[in-house]
Amino acid sequence: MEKQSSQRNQTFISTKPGLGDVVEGQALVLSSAFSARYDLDIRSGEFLRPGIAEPGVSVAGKILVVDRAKGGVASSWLLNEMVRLGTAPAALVFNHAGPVMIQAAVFAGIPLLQAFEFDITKKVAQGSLVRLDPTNRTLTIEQSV
Amino acid sequence: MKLTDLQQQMLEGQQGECRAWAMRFLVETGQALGADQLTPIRYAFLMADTDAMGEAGINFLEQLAETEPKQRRPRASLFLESRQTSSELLKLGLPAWFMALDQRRMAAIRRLGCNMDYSHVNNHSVPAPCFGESIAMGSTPSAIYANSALGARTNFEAGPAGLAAAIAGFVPRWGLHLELNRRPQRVFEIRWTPKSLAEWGALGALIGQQLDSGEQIPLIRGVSQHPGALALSHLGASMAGHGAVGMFHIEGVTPEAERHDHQTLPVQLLESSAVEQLLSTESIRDEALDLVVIGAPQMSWEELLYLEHLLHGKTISSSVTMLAFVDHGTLEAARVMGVDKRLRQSGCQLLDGIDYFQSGSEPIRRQNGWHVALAPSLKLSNILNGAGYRAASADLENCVNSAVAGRVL
Repeated sequence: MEKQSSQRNQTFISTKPGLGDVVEGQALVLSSAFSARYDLDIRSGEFLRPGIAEPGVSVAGKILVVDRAKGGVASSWLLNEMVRLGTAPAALVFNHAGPVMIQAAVFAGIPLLQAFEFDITKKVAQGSLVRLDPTNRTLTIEQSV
Repeated sequence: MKLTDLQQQMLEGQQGECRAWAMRFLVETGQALGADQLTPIRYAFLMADTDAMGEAGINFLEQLAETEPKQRRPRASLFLESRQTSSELLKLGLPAWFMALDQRRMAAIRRLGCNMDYSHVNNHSVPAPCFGESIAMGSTPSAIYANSALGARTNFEAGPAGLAAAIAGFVPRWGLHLELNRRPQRVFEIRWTPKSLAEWGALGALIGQQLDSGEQIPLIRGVSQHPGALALSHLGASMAGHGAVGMFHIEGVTPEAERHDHQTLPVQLLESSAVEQLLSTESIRDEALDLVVIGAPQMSWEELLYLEHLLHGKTISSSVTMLAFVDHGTLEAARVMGVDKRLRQSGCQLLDGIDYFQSGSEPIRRQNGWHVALAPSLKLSNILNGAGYRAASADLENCVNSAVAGRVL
């Protein structure tokens, strides 16, 4: 994917309410839409569908930064099962989350932030350390790469 | 969010922990989605398959089913969309642990007061919602069909959302419950007519791929005559699967297409060649075929008769497994009419159960060492490509001929 540049301590504010508690983690930025059922091996958190991320990359513990959710409704249950398996992302960040990812995040207790006045996948560099504060609707770059 | 006294009582736990959970879920998701209040529903459809729920989801249902019966009885009728996993898949390598989980799932859902009709609203064996009625649909095909073909009002109330809606009797009022959000935003014009259900599905995929978000409700222009309920079902299932959109309009066909002014919207012409490209098997052509699977949406009676016609006098290659998923009523009819027997003699297995992609398709693939699959549904082939298969879509005739040849044609 296109290499992004992000600067330390840059803060982005979402235009819609977020969900969950403050969380920090490494950003995994996807260049395509996302679905837990359509794309993932939930036992490892790695991508079964070719071309979405580098082989062997897992969503486990990552702050997943994605344009939008794919169709389908299975993620509403699957993210909760991934929490049980220890393979769930630490948080979700979308340009367009859609109802299914909102429902999935609430059920699984995963923080979520969505909707920005720009494409958030173009603002966060792959592998950056980011801090999500859903209550204050902010995503901050703690350490850029 | 504005709540009534009853909703506030449930939220505070005055009607038990089960309804309190449902209300917390509805309020939290509703606020994030911009709902201003909750709207009452007559019924909800629960999407809850074992593949998606896993052990965590089934544990949750079992815990909910342990609460006081009076306090967990759904306030709105709850119907199960996700019926049992076909036991015949055990012979094809479905792990026993998966089936054990499936049985726990079905028992917990039954205890929660769900109507175990095992049917699908698109097959019309359960009461269809009325025009303008707010409901809670849990799966993509049923939600987009209810909004588009029937004029009912629902968002995607996925998994636990449909359950919470039924237990509380309400859904968050936002999105497609509001007239304003049902207006078309994009116009797609066709100057040709899809020739098969696979092509209707491919048209849905093509449109879904071009939508930037679920808010971009499309209107299709150029459909010369009503294509029927099955075509709308295939179109919608594929469009929702590829585009996360919950509604479409077809000029002259769907009930709300003429309610909004769409003459000023930009028009995008869709060529038939784009659909032909989506249904191309080129990426796996001439490779040894392992699996042909028909479903998503499940086969109707008319499709089953067409499949029988295509297989008449033919035998599927011994190296190919061909599975066709049908609803319970269609399977019973097929048994009575001898269709099931004739299909089995040709090598095709009719299965009474939830769709293949919800039935442990990934462990079955590993167990059998399968790689190459064909399906007459782009929704299905798309999902199989995310489960480790190399899958393509083709019309039913090509799927049958490839199964007979033992390689992808």
